Amino acid sequence: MNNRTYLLRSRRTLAMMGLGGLVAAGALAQGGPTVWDGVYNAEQAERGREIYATTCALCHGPALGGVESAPPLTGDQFNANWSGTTIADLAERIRISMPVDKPGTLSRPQLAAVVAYILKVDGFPAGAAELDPQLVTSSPVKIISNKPE
Amino acid sequence: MSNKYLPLLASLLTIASLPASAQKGAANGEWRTYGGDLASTRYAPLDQINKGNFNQLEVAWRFKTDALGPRPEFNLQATPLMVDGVVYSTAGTRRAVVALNAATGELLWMHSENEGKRGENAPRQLSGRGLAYWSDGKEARIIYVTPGYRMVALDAKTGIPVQRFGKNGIVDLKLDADQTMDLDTGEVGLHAAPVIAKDVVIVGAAHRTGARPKTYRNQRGFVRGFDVRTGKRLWIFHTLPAPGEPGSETWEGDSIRNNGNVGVWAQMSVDEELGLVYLPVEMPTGDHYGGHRPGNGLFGESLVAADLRTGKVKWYFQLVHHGVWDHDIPAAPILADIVVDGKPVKAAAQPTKQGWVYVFDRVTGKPVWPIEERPVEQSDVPFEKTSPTQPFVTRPAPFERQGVTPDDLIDFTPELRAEALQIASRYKMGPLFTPPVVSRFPGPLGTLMLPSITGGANWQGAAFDPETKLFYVYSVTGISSLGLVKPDPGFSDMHYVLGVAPNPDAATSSMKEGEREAPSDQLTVRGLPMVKPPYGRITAIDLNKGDIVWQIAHGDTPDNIKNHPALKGLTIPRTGRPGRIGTLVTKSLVIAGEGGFATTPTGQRGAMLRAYDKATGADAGAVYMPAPQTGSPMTYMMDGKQYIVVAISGGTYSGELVAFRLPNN
Repeated sequence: MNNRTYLLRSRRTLAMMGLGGLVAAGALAQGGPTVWDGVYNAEQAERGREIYATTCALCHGPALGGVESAPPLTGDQFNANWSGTTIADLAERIRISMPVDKPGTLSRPQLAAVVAYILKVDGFPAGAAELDPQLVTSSPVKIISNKPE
Repeated sequence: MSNKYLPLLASLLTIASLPASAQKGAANGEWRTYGGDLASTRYAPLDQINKGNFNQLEVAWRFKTDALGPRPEFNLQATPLMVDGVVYSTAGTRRAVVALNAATGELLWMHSENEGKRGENAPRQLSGRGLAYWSDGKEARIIYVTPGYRMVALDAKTGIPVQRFGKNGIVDLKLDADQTMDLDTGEVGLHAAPVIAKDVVIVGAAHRTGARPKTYRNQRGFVRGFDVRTGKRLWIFHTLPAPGEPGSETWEGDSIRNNGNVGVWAQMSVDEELGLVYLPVEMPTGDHYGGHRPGNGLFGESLVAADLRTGKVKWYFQLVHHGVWDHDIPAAPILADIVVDGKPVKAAAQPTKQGWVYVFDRVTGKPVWPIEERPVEQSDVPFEKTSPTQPFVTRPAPFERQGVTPDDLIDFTPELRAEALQIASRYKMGPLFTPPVVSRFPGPLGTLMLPSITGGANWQGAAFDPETKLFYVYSVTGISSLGLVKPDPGFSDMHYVLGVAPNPDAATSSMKEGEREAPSDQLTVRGLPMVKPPYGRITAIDLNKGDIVWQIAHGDTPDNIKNHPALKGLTIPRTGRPGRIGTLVTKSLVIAGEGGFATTPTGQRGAMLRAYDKATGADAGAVYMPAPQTGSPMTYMMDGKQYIVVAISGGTYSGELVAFRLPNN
């Protein structure tokens, strides 16, 4: 299942219904693709690093470690907040609330790149294909902190 | 008299019998100020909810905050107040104020300010940490600070702005501030709730976080006192002194004219009898590089006692000289009347990010136990001149681990430890106050710092039992890297900002397909924290003796540790979890929610609100919450029932106030 961009068009509608829909989409993904399957590529993550540095680092820190008011996007606190959810959950959360001073201003390619960068920093492997920008907020790919055996 | 009034009467009798002191906890079954009382004890002498029944708690009401702004908020940090049967809180992305029925959570009124560009530019966004209540017996007001740094007074009954306060109910805090700033873009705001005492409203100031500031000539963070009736400015305290003012001699060269910050972004405490407000001051601009501000830089990282009516400094104590570790004093000091070696002491106990509680005589500012100036390692970063000594607390013992040695690294298995040592070899290690380094690839990438940049303790502060004199503080055991890099051209006028030297081969991934990547700058080992647990703990300290009485891991072990393939077959004791966790103390319990999501004992995803026997730290119960605690819990009595209210949010779960009480049976 490596090097695939996971699309699930029929679930996009669910995702667009809001967070409840996203949770449903995540549930449907039980046993499906995970972030261990190489769901973004290195070039996309590099673009995400540049966007993160100018758009996100002021609050979340240069190494994604968080500050008083912004949670870490890496390590145990990232795992606690996001393990068990989906890329759709994470991307949709970013889409509707970030950056905090100008939410909704990231384009879809920028959003997907930032998600790719977060995945890279958290140690999830890159693959050959990009995370599809147009479907990132409905991606059923599951975020699992430990590699499935 | 019906039974429903008995608890109230009991509380009144209890309060009437106490000796006059600055700290009594929250009185009369209400919660009238952010910290429970002006001493910031977060204590309430209520015991209907106790270790015999905590597990039976059920949700009394919940209040979702999504529609209070143009989008949902996912980091609700408020501690609500409860006065006369009404719960007041800030909430939502515009920092609205809501008044709720304390028994049902029903919305009574809401006030919100759409601040346009000023709100969008605010350095401290979202709903903040709370608000203040004031009454003279005739009228009652709610006072809060908007994201755009305006102070608003509302009629507590109706939510309508009080026309006699400021201009139509609003004081523009960017004006009359002894500095000029653009009203839309001037970088000052505040998350904290104002504090009100003796008809004076005291307001601090906060800025964007300072690891990578755009300029060292930032706005300054002065503290002001205002008349609660009119909004008129009564005084201003220059936390960064003007040239010639006391403290200015600690800024070398022209640095006093060219630096900013030194705000008070944390909560404050007040002793009304002494007429003093206690100000926990942050550091000057540049959290980790002080090359533009030679000198000790008063009143940065100082606890300052100022006259409540004039703002004049009565005493101060600088906790860190010329800081480069982001040791902003993050929380209100707790005002505690204690007995040390047989002598009564009016104390101020200051929890900190660096893991010490500093205990002072709050009348004089003298340390209760010696605080010693000791030599520390000096920086070799260009243009940096660190202080040759730093103050070391000798008692109580630190509530957190301080500094990093190989002994602090993960040792669940020999393999994990070897990997941790390998990662650590690319960093500088040392004790507390080891300075940052210029980051170089492949090393040293930075100085390892424990507690991390965010502490230790942080804005959620601590709690105190005025009866037993036990002080309770939650803290995080985490690690940060302090590496400095030159900022990108055009980004900042600082010589250095926090960062990590890039791996020149970063674009070429050398990992095996499907294997966990080990990025150059992440302090984890196969996804596990690089340091030993506990990752979150609560410490109880006897302030009469300066002794740690108990210390426990707070929070169940995270799922990724429970289920980690490298730990299969091992028995890992409860590790605790990191978070921003405020504690609440009642007659018999310490109560705090967990940080972060995990699979709870019932198999649900969420977090537990936990109770401990406050004398021993033993588990006394736990109840499910659908999301982690993000605001500190409070408690009150309503119609004969005790309620506990806590703000929860995080991940995909938007902000919600949840109220618990016992079932009707």
